[in-house]
Amino acid sequence: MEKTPLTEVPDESQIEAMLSEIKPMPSARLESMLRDAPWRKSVPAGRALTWKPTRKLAWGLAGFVLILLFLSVLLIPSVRGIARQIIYNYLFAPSNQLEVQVTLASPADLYNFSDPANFTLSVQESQQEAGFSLKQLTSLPEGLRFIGSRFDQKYYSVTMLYEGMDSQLFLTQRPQGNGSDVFGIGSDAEVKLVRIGESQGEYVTGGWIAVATQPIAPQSTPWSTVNIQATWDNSLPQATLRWQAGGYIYELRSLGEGGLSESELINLANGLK
Amino acid sequence: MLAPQPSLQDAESFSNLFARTQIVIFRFVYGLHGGPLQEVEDLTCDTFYRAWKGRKGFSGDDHDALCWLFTIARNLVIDAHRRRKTHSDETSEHLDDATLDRIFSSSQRSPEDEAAEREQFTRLWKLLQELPDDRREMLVLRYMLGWQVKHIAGYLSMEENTVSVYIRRSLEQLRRDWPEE
Repeated sequence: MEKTPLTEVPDESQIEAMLSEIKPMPSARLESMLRDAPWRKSVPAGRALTWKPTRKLAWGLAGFVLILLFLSVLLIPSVRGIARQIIYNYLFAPSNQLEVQVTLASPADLYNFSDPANFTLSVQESQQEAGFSLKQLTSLPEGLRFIGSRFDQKYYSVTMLYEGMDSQLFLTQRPQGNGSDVFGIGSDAEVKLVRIGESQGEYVTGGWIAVATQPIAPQSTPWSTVNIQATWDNSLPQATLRWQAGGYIYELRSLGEGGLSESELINLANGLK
Repeated sequence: MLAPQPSLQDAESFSNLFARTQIVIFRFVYGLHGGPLQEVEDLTCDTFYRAWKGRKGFSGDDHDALCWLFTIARNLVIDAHRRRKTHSDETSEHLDDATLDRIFSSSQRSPEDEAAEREQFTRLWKLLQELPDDRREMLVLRYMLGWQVKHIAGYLSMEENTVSVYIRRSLEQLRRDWPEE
């Protein structure tokens, strides 16, 4: 959206607008300063990946779990349902309606996730913050350019943003076991199983659209939560490809009318290095 | 109604609080202190370390925790300003380039117009830092953090009308003090 040109001495409303536009973000330096903070030491992010049982114990446990799982899937219908959800990386919602809770403390950060202004880090800076080695696209589709990346502490994920004239491409990667490993989709969504190298990936088109926001109560504070209702739309110009490999979860998401096709996303996924 | 949260004694609760508030605290400190970015980051870092050390004395819900962090941050900024005055360093407050770049990231202005508008933001930032601390804090909460007037009034234990009047007067002062070309 184009801004109204500022006059030499702005009036009060222009000053208000200018103040609202000032949204500084910390650099990677702050994250590195706080990386070893005492409140973070007891919950190391890579803990699940660094535990190495002895080979004999690991094989024994794996065999036992497999037998138990096989019998459960075979004999118990509800477990069969759960197994289906585990096999599918995506988790079907009970319906095409979804309600999520957000806080009011900094709503712009939620609504503006895809805003290029939120992708301020270089790949090296994100890698430094995340502490794991990042894969990158080896070839970039015509018209797309790299904007920047961001590190999300909550999921220990790094997302890189590429942007074209009428589309955006997000590449997200994170170790398995941090936060939720599933991505909720509507009950009507169609998941297509595809091959990504040695792994099985899942491709889905569509996405959630916010349709209603709960009115903010007069007594609410910036820390109060509000509910946002969203509905799943299969025709939304969004395509998502997710797969797991080597203990990491990867996701490529193309957004916008000029977005990438299924085969283009698979080619990009196969070329990650 | 906000449910009381568990105390912040354990690392996980504190870590959750940190994850939810670090950007808010960073912007609050940035607005009060004025920059440069490195000092703002140092003060943000100190705020959380000080809160961690003092967590045993805290009790309350999430909103109380945010106000508590604001209080710690404000005190640290006041100390930093005292040190700055002692060292006669009055020229270090400025908006960092990355913040200005973000403001103009989607702008399609000509380079000349953009340069002029960047200069306007720089002037505004300087004038904001010249406001009394309490007025500046209100503007930071209202515009940089997007709080509603009633929330600011609640946080500062003031009447809503009083906060509105202060904000209006502060905006008028910024306009009055704006240097003519």
